[in-house]
Amino acid sequence: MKKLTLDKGDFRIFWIKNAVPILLIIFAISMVFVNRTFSSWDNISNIINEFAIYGITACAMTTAIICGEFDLSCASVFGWSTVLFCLTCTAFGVLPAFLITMLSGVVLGAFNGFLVAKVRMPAFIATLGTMTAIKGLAYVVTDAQPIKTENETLYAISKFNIGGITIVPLVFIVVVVIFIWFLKFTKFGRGIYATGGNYEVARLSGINVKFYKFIVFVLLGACAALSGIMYGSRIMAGWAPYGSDLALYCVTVTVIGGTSLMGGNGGVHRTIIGILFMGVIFNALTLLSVGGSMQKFVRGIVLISVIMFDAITSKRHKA
Amino acid sequence: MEKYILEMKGITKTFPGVVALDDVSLKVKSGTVHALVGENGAGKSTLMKILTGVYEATSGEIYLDGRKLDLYGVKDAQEKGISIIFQEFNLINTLTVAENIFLGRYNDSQYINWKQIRTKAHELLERLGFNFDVDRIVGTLSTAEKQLVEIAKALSYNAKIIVMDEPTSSLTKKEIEMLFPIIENLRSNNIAVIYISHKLEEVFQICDVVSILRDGKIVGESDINNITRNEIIEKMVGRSLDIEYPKRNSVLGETVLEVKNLSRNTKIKDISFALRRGEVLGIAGLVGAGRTELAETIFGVHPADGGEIFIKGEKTAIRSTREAKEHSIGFVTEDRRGTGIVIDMNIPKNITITKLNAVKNRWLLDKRKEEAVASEYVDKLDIRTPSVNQILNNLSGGNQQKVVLSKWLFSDADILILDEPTRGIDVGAKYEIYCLINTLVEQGKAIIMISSELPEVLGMSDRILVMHNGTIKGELTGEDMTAENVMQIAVD
Amino acid sequence: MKSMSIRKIKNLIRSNFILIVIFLIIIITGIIESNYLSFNNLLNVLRQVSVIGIVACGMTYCLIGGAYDLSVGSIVSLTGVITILTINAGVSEFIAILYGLLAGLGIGITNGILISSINGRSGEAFIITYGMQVVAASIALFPSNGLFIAGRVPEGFFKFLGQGVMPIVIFLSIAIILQFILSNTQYGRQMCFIGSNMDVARLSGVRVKLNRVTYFAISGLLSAIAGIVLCSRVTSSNPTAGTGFEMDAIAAVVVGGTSMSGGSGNVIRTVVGAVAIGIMSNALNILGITAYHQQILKGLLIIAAVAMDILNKTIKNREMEHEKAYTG
Repeated sequence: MKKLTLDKGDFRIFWIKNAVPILLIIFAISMVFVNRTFSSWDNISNIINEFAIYGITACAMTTAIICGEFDLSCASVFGWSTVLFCLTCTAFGVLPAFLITMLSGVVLGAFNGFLVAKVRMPAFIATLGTMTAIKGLAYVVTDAQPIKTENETLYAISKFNIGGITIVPLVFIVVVVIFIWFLKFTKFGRGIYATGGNYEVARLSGINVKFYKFIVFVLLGACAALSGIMYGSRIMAGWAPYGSDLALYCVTVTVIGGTSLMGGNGGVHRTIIGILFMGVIFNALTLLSVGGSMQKFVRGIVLISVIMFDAITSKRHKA
Repeated sequence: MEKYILEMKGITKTFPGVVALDDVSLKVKSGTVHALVGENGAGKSTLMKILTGVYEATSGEIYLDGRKLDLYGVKDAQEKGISIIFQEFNLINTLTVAENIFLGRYNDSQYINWKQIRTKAHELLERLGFNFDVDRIVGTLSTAEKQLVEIAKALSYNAKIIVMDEPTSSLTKKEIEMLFPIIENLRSNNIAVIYISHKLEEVFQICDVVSILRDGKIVGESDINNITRNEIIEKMVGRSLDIEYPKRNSVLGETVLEVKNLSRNTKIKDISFALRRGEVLGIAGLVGAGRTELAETIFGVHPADGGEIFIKGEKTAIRSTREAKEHSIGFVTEDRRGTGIVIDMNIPKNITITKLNAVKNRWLLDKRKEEAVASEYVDKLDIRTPSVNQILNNLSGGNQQKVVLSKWLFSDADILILDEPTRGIDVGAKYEIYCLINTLVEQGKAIIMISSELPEVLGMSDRILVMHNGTIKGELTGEDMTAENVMQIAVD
Repeated sequence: MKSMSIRKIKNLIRSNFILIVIFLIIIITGIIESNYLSFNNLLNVLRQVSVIGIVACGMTYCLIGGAYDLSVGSIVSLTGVITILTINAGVSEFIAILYGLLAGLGIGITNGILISSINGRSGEAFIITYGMQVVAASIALFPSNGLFIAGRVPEGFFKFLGQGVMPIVIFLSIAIILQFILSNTQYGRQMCFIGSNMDVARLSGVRVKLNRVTYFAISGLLSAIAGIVLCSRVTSSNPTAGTGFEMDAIAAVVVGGTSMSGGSGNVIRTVVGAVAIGIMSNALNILGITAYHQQILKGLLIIAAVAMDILNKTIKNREMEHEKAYTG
């Protein structure tokens, strides 16, 4: 803003920094012309309802990545939560089910946090282990079968909507606002940035780094459980394999948004762009009747490209 | 009776089996700059770690402003008024200047008032005489600016004592000139500064009092006006100066390395020089002048994008470290633990990695051959180790450096680039490394020696290239090789 | 001196803790069920273990070289699909095997090129190979739309690979060859250096990038071999046959005692790890514990093994610091 003229380098930085939103806009506009359904309200509300579920966990994953950590097990926590929620819903009703499921998410997250913060295990391998164990747990409880719930209150809640927008996006917005607020404006949030930015320095500055390494996993566990509850309440069913691509999705949208895997920078507000981007692209693929395995293929390619891009730009930044 | 802000009385620190500090007492007055000098391993950093609460003293007491202090870590010391600025700054590169200054404290409440923090950060920097954008990300700042942020951070704790650990070691001359007024400023604000430095010129320029540590004991304390440079050095090393650099009688042979107009993006520009057998070519210059970058370019770590390299008269393009090695170049890096050795492998493995071909029986590695090679170098370079198969972590810095040298000697390197070869090595081992360098050139090797320690470059080189801003700004030989001349060229 | 040898024994127990626990389970089962430890049953277990074991051997190389390879399971599935489809198309079985091997090798090389071109550390390698897992798994789904493909496999070499003791022979010979290369060749030594400290390796003139590509290539190739052995045994292919193999392989490697931090390891120990896990899960089957329960155990097993590894390292470092302080 101080300079009136932009030189070539500024333009390049501008492009790199804003490549994702620009691509998103171009893509969305061209989709409007290619496919009529795309711009219909039904479809748009569909996109919104769809991405809000995973988006909740993506916020927490972003927070974990800012703190320099990573969690594969959120996918299993999600599946397990759909199961637990449906079981407890039938047995005890909606509110107790909600509380129990959230509690289980917190406990599972805390276990991951304990392994990483206290035992000092690399997050990758620790969460790989818990991912397997939790998925096993969900299978054991349900005997690998999908289970249903027929709780009427839940049915009413899941059908409630305003102009096609269900309650899930509202929850998502609340979660996003809370995350953005506390990451920017509380000691707690800044501690997460400091811990991810430089563990040793943060420790010497009197920041309780182990607490932050621990707490991001608890947040992730809780958010994955919340996502699971949202999903379970939407389809009134629970099954262990539900959400098995959640970890992949969360890392992808976080890094697309521009939060680097190196830790210490980025933010949930950026992840929103990543979520929109993925939401629009995969909605478009569905509309263009691209099959499931092809979509899976695209997901993998997108993840790899995004990680490569992040690595190349952040390393160039350093050099 | 004079009033001391800080009194450390009878500080003793023992690690299992080792006495690091022996009954050390240090008194510092407010509004003075107190130099603490001593060779590496003399105990300076241990003493400062005790002062800032990183270590607990085995015995002894610390008094601040007459009151006895118990310290529980860096943060606690900071809050009680003792701040330390380490060489590797305690800053988080991904956060802004303002946030770094108030890291971990922010406001009194759990919520952050960014406006207040930014204003306060701005005020602190203004107190130091700088108008600074406090929203800049620390990772984009220069070393000097980072130092400024650290000082501002110390001020924000209302520090009574600020410890500076080698504050100028990676500053340019200009930046040093910026730092000194800041220190003056601190002094006039009645803050005590403990200034740890190897650079005696600076000590004489900025400090009021000097304390000298050797082998964990205070061996001298004096007003700066009552002591000479040579007296300080004598006390530091405990012996006279003239044996510091051993003499050699090497014969200059043919040119082995010639570099013409070498460049790599903006890091090094248009470098030309030649190196002969039996020669030690010193490369001096300030940190950031492009010395390490030049070494890395010649060694193929980051290949050149312009210019030519001739080795033994033959034009060669060195595009990778492997090609450099094949052209008999060896590179002893400045960061020994990070890029020189694998700390948890043993001596043979660390030495033979450069030429595994030579310890093979046709296809397979022969461990006996490897051990034989290792024992050969352990004998030749006098590497002090309980056994040949020792893991490097169990060796001292000087002996680790000898292992690094061995690996390049084993690879038959004729041209050795030594980047800060005596960094982090104690005085005795330094001398051994110098002798070793002499032996090598007497055998016809050619050596490029990069060093930030000017006396070392002057004492060891046949010829000195002085770098500045990525170029070779001057060449000194014979009588012209004086500290003054080098500095004249090295600074702007 | 006596205290020294006690310490050594303690260390030995500590560093093999998980293995010891597993063998205790096996012995207890052997006491409860007498024909459990019969030769036939053990041979059977060994045969079942071979496929995972071959994958785990490749994983060992990756981990020693300092990176994870999560794509192995998908490569197993994809190789099976490709091989069976080619055989079903009536092409010579050797060509079918070749195609399968090339597919695995190709994916491995792609992994390696991507990761070493960005000098990726283990975190990046983890995520990139995770992405590749998804990509390869989806490709495996294309031809049959996710359905099981029955193979029209004639009697011959291909069928021979999965019969009798062949899988065991293939598995053990691969392990022995890899271990031999690891401990006796230049290539193996350089792998340890790259895994311990990539910068030291690079600055010692080692071709780090090229070497790293080969670790992923070997891992891919071995996964392909495992995939071929697997579908030769069952003479059909399932596009999700290899799902979760990466977990089993990592479990075998860590239980065997190869460190997660890279730079050291042992393929034979991985074999021991794989076999121990195989026998254990067989024992658990006999004791009537379901596969899903076992999945929980497997996850916890990985965590326990890595935690033990970290604990051992901490203790070792502490001891080393003490020794260093005493010698000055």
